[in-house]
Formats: sequence, C-alpha cells, structure tokens
Amino acid sequence: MEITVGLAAILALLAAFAYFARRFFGAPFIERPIILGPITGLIMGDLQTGLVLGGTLELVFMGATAIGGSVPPNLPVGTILGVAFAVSADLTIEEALVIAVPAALLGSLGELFAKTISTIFANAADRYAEDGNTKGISLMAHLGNLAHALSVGIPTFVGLLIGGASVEKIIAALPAWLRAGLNTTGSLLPALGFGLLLATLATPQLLPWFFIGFSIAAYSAWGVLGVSFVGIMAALIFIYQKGGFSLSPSESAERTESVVEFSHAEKSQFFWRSFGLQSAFSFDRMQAVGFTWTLIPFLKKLYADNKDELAAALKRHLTFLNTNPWVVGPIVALTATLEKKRAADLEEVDPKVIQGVKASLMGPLAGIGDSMIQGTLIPVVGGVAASLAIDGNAIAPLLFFFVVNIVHVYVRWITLDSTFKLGSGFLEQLSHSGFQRLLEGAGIAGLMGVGGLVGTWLNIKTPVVYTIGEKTIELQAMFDKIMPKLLPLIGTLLVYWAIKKGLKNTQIVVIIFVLGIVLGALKILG
Amino acid sequence: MKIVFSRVDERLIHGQVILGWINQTGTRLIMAVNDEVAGNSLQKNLLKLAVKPGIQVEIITIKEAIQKIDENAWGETATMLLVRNPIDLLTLVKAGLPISKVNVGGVRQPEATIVLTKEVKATEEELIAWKELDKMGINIDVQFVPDQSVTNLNKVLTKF
Repeated sequence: MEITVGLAAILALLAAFAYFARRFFGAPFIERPIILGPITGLIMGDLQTGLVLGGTLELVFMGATAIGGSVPPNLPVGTILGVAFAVSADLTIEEALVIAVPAALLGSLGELFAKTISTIFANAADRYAEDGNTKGISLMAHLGNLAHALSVGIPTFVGLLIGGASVEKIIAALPAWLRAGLNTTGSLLPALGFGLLLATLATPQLLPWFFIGFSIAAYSAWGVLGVSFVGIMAALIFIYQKGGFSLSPSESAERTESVVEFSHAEKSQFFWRSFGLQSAFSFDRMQAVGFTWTLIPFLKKLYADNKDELAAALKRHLTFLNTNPWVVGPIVALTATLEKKRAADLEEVDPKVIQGVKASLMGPLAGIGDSMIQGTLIPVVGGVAASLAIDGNAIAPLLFFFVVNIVHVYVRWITLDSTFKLGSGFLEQLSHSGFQRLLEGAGIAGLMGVGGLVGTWLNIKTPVVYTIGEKTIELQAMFDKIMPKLLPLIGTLLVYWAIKKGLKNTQIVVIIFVLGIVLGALKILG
Repeated sequence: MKIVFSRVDERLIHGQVILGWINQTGTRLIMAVNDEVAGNSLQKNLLKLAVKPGIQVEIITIKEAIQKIDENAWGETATMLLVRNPIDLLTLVKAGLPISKVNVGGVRQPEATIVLTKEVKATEEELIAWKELDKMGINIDVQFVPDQSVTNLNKVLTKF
C-alpha cells in the first residue's frame, strides 16, 4: 500500500488527536503504541501488523512515560511511522522497530518545541486575566493545545511522506549483513523498556519479585497473563498480611470544619473541566493555564459583581502548577472551597492561603499519582495487553483503553468528590488508610509482570555452533541447560545496570543499535 | 552523614524524585528540610505517603537539620537531601552539610521574577543565595529526571 498525501494526512491527524487527548481529555493514554499501533494498522489495511508492532513497541517504551513535565520519547510519531512503513514497505517487525524507535526519540523535539512555545500563550493569558477576560484565557488554552497537536501532527506528516518514498528502497538496498544486524537490534530493543521499568520499580527488598516473575515465565508456559495474575494475587496477600487497605470513610473520619456546600451541578462542572488540566502545557508554568480554565465558570459566577477580584483570582491561578492529571481533584476542591469563602468575606481568606494549599498539595499528589499510574498501572495493563496483541488478539487495545480509563474516571471523580465532602480530612484519611501498603503491593505486581515479560517476549538467542573433534556444540542449547531465557535476562539486567550508571535513554538506544548490528552481522546473536 | 544526592525542588517529594532519582541514586533515607512543611502534619503525612516503604523519610526544620548534621546522624546510610529553595540550602551548607554538587528541579515561587532557566526562577534573595553557593565551589546542575539533559547553573549565574 502506497502512502499517499491523503493517507499521510489522516495518520497525522490521528497522531495529533492522540496527543491533543493528553492535553485536553485528562491523559487517557491513547498515545500509547498498544492503542495507536492497531488503529494505524486498521487504516493501512493490515490490522495484524498493527497489533504485533503496536504490542512490541508498547514493550520497548514500557518504562518511558512523562513524569512531572519531563519530555519522553514521542510515541505517536514512532508508532505511526513504524506501523505505516511496516505495511507499505513490507518490513519485518524488527526492521520496523529500528525505524520506530529513532523516530520516537527524534519526535520528542516536537513536544519540546510545543512546551517552549506555550510560554507565549501562558503570558498572553496573564494579560487577559488583568482585564478579567475569561474568554481570552480560554482561547489561549485552546491555542496552546493546537500548538501541541501540530507539534506532533506535522512531524508525523512529513516523516510519512519522506519515508513513504524512500524506506522501501533503502531497506532493499541494504547489504545482507546490515539487514541481519538491524534485525538483531530489533530483537534487543524491548530490553530497553524492561530495563527502564525495572529501574523505576525495583528497590532491593522488592527485586526478588522480578526474578520470581521471570522464573515462572521462563520455566513454564504460563505467559504474561498467568504471571501477572499470580503477581496480583501475591500483591493482595502481601497487602492484607500487612493490615489491608481501606478508602471508604471510617467512623473517625469527620468532616473538617472548612467544608462548604457545593451542588452536584457545580461538582460535575469541576469534574468535566478538570480533564483539560494539561491544556497549553508550558515549561515554565506547566498546568497553570489548564487549572485556571477548570475554574473559569466558577470564578466568573463567584466574582460576578467584582471585576477586580475576578482579575486577581485569575492571576493567582495562572501561576505554576504541576501534579498528576488524574488526581488534581483534591486541589480543585480545596481551592474552590477557599475561593468561595473568600468571595463571601474577603477578609477571611488571604490569597496566600490559597496559593499555599496548591503549592503544598501538588508535590505529594504528583508523587502518589505518578507511582501508582505511570509506575504501575500502565506497565501492568500495558504488558498484559501487549502480550495479547503480539499474539494477534484484537481485543488488546480495547482492554488497555477500558481498564485504564475506568480506573482513570473513577479516581478522578472519587478524589474530587471526597475532598468536597471531607475537606482536607480526605487526605488525612488517605494517609491513615494503609496507602503505602497498596503502593508496595502494586510494586510487587509490577515487578512480577516485568519479569514475566522478560521471560516471555524478549528473544535474544545465539546461533553460534562450534565443533570439537566430531562433536558439534550449539551454544544456545548449552545456555538453555543452565537456564531458559538466560540471554534475555542478562540483556535486561545490563540495561538496568546502564540506567543505574546514569546513561540516558538515547545513549542506551545507540549502544543497542551498535551492538545489534555488530553482533548480528557477525552472527553471534540473532 | 552520607549525602548521595541533594536537590533543590519546591515540590520536595514528587514523581520526578520518586520514579526518577531514588532508585538511580540508591537512596535509603530522605531528609526533606523545610520549616513550614515540618510544622504541618497533613503535608508531612502526604509527602511520606508517596514514598515506597523501606525508605525512611525525615521531614524536619532547618534547626533540626543542623543538629542532625552536627551529630553526624544516620552514619553511613545513603541519604537524599531535599530543600525547597537555595536559601535553605545555603544555610545548611554553611552549617557544614557535606556536599560538593547539587541537583535542581523546578524552583519558581509566584513572586520570583529573575529567569535563570526555563525551569528555575529566582527572587533577589534567592539569586544572592545561588551566587554564594556558586562561589563556594558547589556544582549546580538543573535536571528534572536522570534521562533529561543538564543545564549547568554555575555558567548561567556568571551572567547575573
């Protein structure tokens, strides 16, 4: 299938939309390869390739997620280019990986650009705030999102057109040794994702769980699904042995006195608007514009008769904020409560108190959210879904989308609603709920899952055979006698070690490329 | 006291620190120093909540921190120091905190107007503190997470 301008435009729109969703739809993780791979495959008329490559890329980029405003590899660019060329130029999965990974790394420049340029929109929003012009602020939020979408859409479009004309010829012109080398590189690349994830999840006490997960997968035919299931059970046993976890309001949880009544309509307005938290995300103020956008209708109503106070309120919320987008609820609820009190009596609540609440909560909530969501939920669900996808099961992207987003919507609502009901008492309660046990349990499930992935999907093998007298010895058979999947385990641990040594993703990717090409061409690995 | 990593970050403990730096540096104990936070039990509880069990978290005032430095508390335990601003860091360094380099995350109070990098803004007082830390020969690098590029603040400070 040839990549026409029209097709490139459709795929670029898909990339732009996936990225726009990160900004405006509350981070639903639809930019992950497990979702975009199959969709691109479907558009290209080859769902199977989309599933397999999407699943494999999900593994490669497993540990690569945006934490606290950092810029991760650009998944939409990498995934869509990889799948499109795999179908159009009839590449192997490994060859497609070799294109997708550098494309994703290069593509991150687009996000860098968008986050830099969004500073302009944040500054413009500031000027609108001075006049109490909420329409202007909303416009800036949307323009910022447009810039973000374009920063991903345009590179995808250009990449597709350039590559569409040349990839097939380039690959066909490669000498056999280099093709063999690149195929080896492709089979080594998932070790990057596993190593990255290991580095974020593992503490010395928890590391054995990784090896347990690996052993089960290596010595049995349980697959990732089986290992993940055992992992979740192990986590539950652990959590309940240590005393359990409970979020439901206990007898002792009293409403803190600071609670103000909010109607259901008001709450649901905050809820829906909070999906836009990451709008016009810029390096210097991050979620400031999105947070203000969340509050706009509320503040407008609150300070309807007092234009100066409205301007002051808009300005004070256009200051730096960054937290995990799923769990911004408590900050929204406490801010709204304080603003309502201030509107009733300007003397009662000093603006500094409102700033203080935001500043003190964003860090801890970001920490809790990032470790639970990017650190555990996405890798575990992503790992299981990727396994299904590589097996060609078209349920995989749907499973990932629905499991992740049911949790997403539930967490978003419950943290918001509970804080409206209990004030900061909800957060107090959270700190006595055994939440840390939950976190540690989640770490166990996550590590077992990664171990299972290494033991199932990482295919590093050696074709080396040597002859002593009349006996031929296959090196791989010798390794298998020591332990099945020994080379994948070593590969993953080497990446883990390199990350611990402070090497960056890009450096590790370069090393994997060089090693893959050399060892593959020499037929040491392959 | 064995400081394996020190960081100035207005959010103290959050995702970048937990997923990015704790394992990377082999931290076993986090010492977060801030008078305001140390006096607020809700904030203290929440900050501790985000950290995996097995890692000790001490959230203390500057005065307590100086005492800990004097006592050489926690011996050889791999310790991560977190402060919210350069002023607090300077106080601790002057009190004998054994560090030669510091990592910087997001530092930008609403009233800070001097733009040092895209992630770091300073007030007049903060700029003075940064400069003094620079003069003491401390290497100051701005870097959110281990995988990201580094901006050396010492170089930036020569322009101010």
